[in-house]
Amino acid sequence: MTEIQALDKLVAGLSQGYMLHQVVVITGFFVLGLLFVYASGTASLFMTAASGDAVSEKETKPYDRGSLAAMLYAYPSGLALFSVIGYLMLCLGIPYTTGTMIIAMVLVGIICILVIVRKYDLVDIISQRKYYLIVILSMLCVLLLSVMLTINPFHVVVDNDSFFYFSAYPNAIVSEGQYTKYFDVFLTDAAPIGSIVQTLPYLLGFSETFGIQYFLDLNFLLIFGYALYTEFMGAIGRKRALVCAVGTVLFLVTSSAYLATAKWVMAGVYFMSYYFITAYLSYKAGGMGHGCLRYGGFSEIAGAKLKPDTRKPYVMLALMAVMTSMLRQEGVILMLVLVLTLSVLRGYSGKELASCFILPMLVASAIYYIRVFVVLDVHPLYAFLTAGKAIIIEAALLFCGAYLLFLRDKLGDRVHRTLPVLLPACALILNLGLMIMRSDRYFHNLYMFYLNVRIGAGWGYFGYIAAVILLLLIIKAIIKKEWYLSFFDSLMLTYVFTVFLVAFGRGDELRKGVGDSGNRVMLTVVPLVVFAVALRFLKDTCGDTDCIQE
Amino acid sequence: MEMAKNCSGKYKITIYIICCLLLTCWNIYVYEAHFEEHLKLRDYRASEQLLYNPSYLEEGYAADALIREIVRGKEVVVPRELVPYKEYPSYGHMHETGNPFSNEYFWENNYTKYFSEYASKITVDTSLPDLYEIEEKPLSEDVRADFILLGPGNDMMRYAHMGDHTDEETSNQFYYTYVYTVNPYHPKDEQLQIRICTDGLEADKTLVALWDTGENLYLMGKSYYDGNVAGEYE
Repeated sequence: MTEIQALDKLVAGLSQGYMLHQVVVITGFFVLGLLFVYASGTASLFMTAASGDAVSEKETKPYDRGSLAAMLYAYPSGLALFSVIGYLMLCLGIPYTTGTMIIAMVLVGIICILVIVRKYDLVDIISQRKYYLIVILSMLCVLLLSVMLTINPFHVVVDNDSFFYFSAYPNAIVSEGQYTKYFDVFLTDAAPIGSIVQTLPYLLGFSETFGIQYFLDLNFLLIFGYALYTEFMGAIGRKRALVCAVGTVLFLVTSSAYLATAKWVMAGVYFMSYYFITAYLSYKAGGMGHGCLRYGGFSEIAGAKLKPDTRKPYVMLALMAVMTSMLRQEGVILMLVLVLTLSVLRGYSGKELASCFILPMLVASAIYYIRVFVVLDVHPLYAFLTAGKAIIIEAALLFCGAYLLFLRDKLGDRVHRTLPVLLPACALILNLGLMIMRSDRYFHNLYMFYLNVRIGAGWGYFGYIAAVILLLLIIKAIIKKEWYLSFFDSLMLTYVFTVFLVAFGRGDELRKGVGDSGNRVMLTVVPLVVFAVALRFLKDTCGDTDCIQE
Repeated sequence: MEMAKNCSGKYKITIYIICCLLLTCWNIYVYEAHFEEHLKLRDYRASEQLLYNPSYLEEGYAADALIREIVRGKEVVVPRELVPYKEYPSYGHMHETGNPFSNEYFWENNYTKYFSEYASKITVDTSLPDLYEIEEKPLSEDVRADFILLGPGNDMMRYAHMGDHTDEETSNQFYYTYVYTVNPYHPKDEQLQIRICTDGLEADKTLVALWDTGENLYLMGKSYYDGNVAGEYE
């Protein structure tokens, strides 16, 4: 037997049963997530009456039209529940083992079922055959897709970090059942929740997470497409909206810039997916996105479009906020960009934003920093996250929380309307400040960002396409004097400028190549860019008048 | 809907869709022609349900990923107890002029630290030949021929500190920044090479790990050790 044959035989023997375990995990996350989507009230965001108008939560039933859309959030929710609960257990010193995690997941499932029983009329549901059909079909679909994706039909991209930060380290977490001082640099450099996602194989009996990752990729693309469809629908009709959404998704899914992150076994794909998922969900919860595009004076309209008695899915929003913010060490700062952009929406009060987003992120990040820098007293020689940076992050959270609680609701309409432009402008000013203070390093980093896009380091030709479209949109704006930014325009621009800032905060200079950390973070903006540009273009198809009809 | 009927941009919508499709075709071409070249990373189709792929063997890539899988759920027998860094001469003097460091702390302990993290159990059997005995009397050519060279284990050792529950890990960083990352794929005098013997490796519940002073690892099943190696060191 040759060496490669012996190795093939060994590998086949070692991986017996692994595929089945991964399929069960994916299906389990879907089921748990679906229960959570309904229990948290997230499903009601997607429910609409036959007329397309919003309905109140009491009028919705789990099998109504829109329930399929609610299922799109099931798997991401299930994965987020596992990750956040595991993260909290590790930060609080609760033993992190297969047994404790399964118990925790089962408890969450039971709580969700109890909430659902109280929320919905079970007798009515059980008597509906349509409900059984939807549930069975969706389960079969998930099962089939998870099998297809777990047999690894697509390529994956790996590098050294995939094997150590996102395999050896998570393996060690499961082995120890807790964070230990000896994890050292992993505690300060590896994405906290990114690593916890990668503990799944070692907790539940398989080796890699390719199927889990690809299922999230597929789920994300469906949510992305659904979001586009929903946004286009009111302006251009259902059929055209569907075709436009499919076309845009095809463009995104074939872009090298998207694939570089989506295929790479790292935290980046999870951050990119969850950032968009959280952004769209929270945008929708703010009373927006009910089938028409909103520009210019959208802040006034958002409040009027809220359903009469629907509460926002606060628990889901908080879960997604924690999940997204802790998927990268700089995730909190980038989530603050989203929260500040959400503050433009009148559908949210300052108190809601502070309690749904700021408070959970503050608690989640603080307990991690305390565990790492106080309890374990870790002092790696080389670290991305230092105690000083942790303090800055917490201060930023407190500052934003104070703004939301004490200032935001008192802002006049005029100021409020300029916020979509003010936010990226502020981020740009901060960049200018850095440029003046540390011009050598700042320009070096900026040049590296430019170089990596130019040579296609993970970007392919996306950078060129985006630059041309951006130029055309700017020229059009100048000609038509359309000086406004939509929610997603503002979010995208502020995100890009903030990435320049957090990249500077790394401490090291950026470098050429796809593996550069700043370049990898910048790549996560691609779905936002595509979404914002698609919305802006489709808005133009309706002419200058606002498409909203009261 | 009324507003849809009012919108007169159906030609713009058509242009949008055509642009999307054309750009999609361009993307597919770019992906096929240039993706791997632009990315400069390993892009492959996983053939098994493992993070490690047999195609890595040719380049000696990611030996660690397979080793962790092999020892998962198994007992590993090693020849020496883990000795804390404070027992070594350079302890407490690391930051003095010349940065003295007792390299033998790593040679003697890193594999034990590593396996204690990823195997289900570590057992010390001092009757096994330790690194100095192997250095004095290397494994025979016949035995070495039964082993597959997986590749260098620099990063394995670089991150062995996670299995260290006795000592400050700054000693690891000092060493790895100097040795483990300098010429990582061209070690001097054949150091840090990871070898496995597949005979009985999957079937045996107990494995044996031997290494020399160059931190070259030989991982085998207990049955193979008892039948082929033990006799050479009695």
